[in-house]
Amino acid sequence: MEQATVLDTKVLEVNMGPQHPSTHGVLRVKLKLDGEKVVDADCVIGYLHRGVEKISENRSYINGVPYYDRTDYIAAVSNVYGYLLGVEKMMGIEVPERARHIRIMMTEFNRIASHLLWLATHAIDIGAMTVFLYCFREREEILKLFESLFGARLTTHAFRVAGLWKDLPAGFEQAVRDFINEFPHRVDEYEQLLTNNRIWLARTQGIGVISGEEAINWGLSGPVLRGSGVDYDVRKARPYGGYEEFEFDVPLGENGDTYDRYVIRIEEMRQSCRIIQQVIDGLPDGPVRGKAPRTLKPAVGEYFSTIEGPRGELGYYIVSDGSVQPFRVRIRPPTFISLQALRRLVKGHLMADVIAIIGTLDIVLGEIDR
Amino acid sequence: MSDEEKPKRDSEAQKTAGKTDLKEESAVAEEGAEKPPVKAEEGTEKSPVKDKPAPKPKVKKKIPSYEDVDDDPVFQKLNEKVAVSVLSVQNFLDQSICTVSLDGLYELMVDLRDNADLDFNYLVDMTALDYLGDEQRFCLVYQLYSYKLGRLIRIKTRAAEDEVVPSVSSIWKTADWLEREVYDLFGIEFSGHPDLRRILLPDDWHGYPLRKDYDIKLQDQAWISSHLKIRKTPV
Repeated sequence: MEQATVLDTKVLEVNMGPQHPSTHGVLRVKLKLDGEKVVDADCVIGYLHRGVEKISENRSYINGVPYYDRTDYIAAVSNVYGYLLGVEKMMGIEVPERARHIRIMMTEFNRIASHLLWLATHAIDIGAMTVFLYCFREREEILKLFESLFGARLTTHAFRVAGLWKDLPAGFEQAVRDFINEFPHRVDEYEQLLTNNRIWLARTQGIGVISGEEAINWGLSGPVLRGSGVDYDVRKARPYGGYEEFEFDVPLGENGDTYDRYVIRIEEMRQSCRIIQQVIDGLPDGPVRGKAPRTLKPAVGEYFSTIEGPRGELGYYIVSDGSVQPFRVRIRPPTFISLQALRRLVKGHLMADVIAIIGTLDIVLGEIDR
Repeated sequence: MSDEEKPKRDSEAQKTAGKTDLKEESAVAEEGAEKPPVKAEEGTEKSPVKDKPAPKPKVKKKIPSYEDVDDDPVFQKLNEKVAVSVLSVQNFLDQSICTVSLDGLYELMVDLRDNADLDFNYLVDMTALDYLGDEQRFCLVYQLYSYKLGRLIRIKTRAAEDEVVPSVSSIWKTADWLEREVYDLFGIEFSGHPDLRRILLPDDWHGYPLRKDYDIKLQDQAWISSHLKIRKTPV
């Protein structure tokens, strides 16, 4: 700045959080500000650290499952899914076809629910109140479906080894059909409120831009990576659990900004709906639970099971020493890695944009801190 | 079960306290009793589970094992200079595992990323394992993905307790926090890391919780009493 000699500014360190409504959990960001411009940002995390990985080493393979519900509590179904896929692979357990399809359906429902919560909070952070109410209306319907099938709404303990706890309850299929008939119109409603909204555009376009190459180097995954135009979705790259049987598109962005990531998540909800439609139309009959030993004792070995969670690539690196407890369960948390890029994304933006960028990364502190 | 190529067979010392309290069923995993299925059509006859000897010898499921691979195209394309540090290439459950020596780790990682034929530009994950009692106590595990090849590989290297591991954060930015986490929870030092400090635990915490000799109930009592004003935490 030319006027620097006249109006000398000093870099100011401002604390955002750990108790701040727009940090979506207990996150503390130490911002270095030059006026309103962010010079640097340092994240302080760990407030929610519960040592899930340590706990898993001291529980049996099955007893560990509920803990993974509680890492990323917004996407509990996906979390359990990723872990069980790994354990089943190590044990050589076959999952019946019906159970596989229901798992995919419920995981996609979870993706929608997670994206709805993201959209609701992201919009309210930026100042759009109505979207919040609309999104929660639809999310409620999904949580009701969860409740009728899993018995819980949030920490669902969705799946069991080799299948499901029980078959779909009466009326479930109809409820699913009702939802997917209605839901695309609801998405249109959100889009009407936001997609061409001038304030929304001004707050999201050109904010937090990251190129595809850089996004790869930062290890980003999920919608954040695809917003930068990198065509990588674990469901397509390394299909798991039967995803190759279903048709869906992977939406890609061009500019890698907050707006593109918004468009992608909106489109992903539509695509999830498409998958659910295919599942429910072709749902095979049969048992929902295969054969599995009561005590899981995988042979000595290791497996890295990755799935496409709502927030990105979710991995479980399971190491067995041949005993009833895992030697190590490492969770590869997608948001831990995308939060790391916050420092890079906020540089040069205004303080108010930090909130939009935290929102667009779609972080869940329970998973970051584990 | 006793193949000699298993680097991760744990020694007795690893059975730390609290590791053995679960009931150990004598049956091997594949022959263990099955849970009665929920669907009625299969679970009509009540299957007594506990004392019934394992039912008629079933078809033995194939127990997965580590298989040596010597013609993996990925590791054949490595630069000769760095290929010498590759100790073994194995397959387990269709995933490639490459064990390398610690000295050549950094150069190998640079080559994996920069080699135009390989282009492993995505560090998916990085973590460590603690083989307490082994001479080279720690095992560092890197999961790499190449968008170009569509391949996921795993690089492993062993390090003794006092050895410093070269940081790969200059190759992949991802490694910055991942290495901080390993440093935080395992106490492994990285050389060349821009900002190596604790990340999940408080800065002044003592001890490394994911080490096998750190009991699950262990806490830094001094930290707790000074910061949380709790005199004694129930154990």
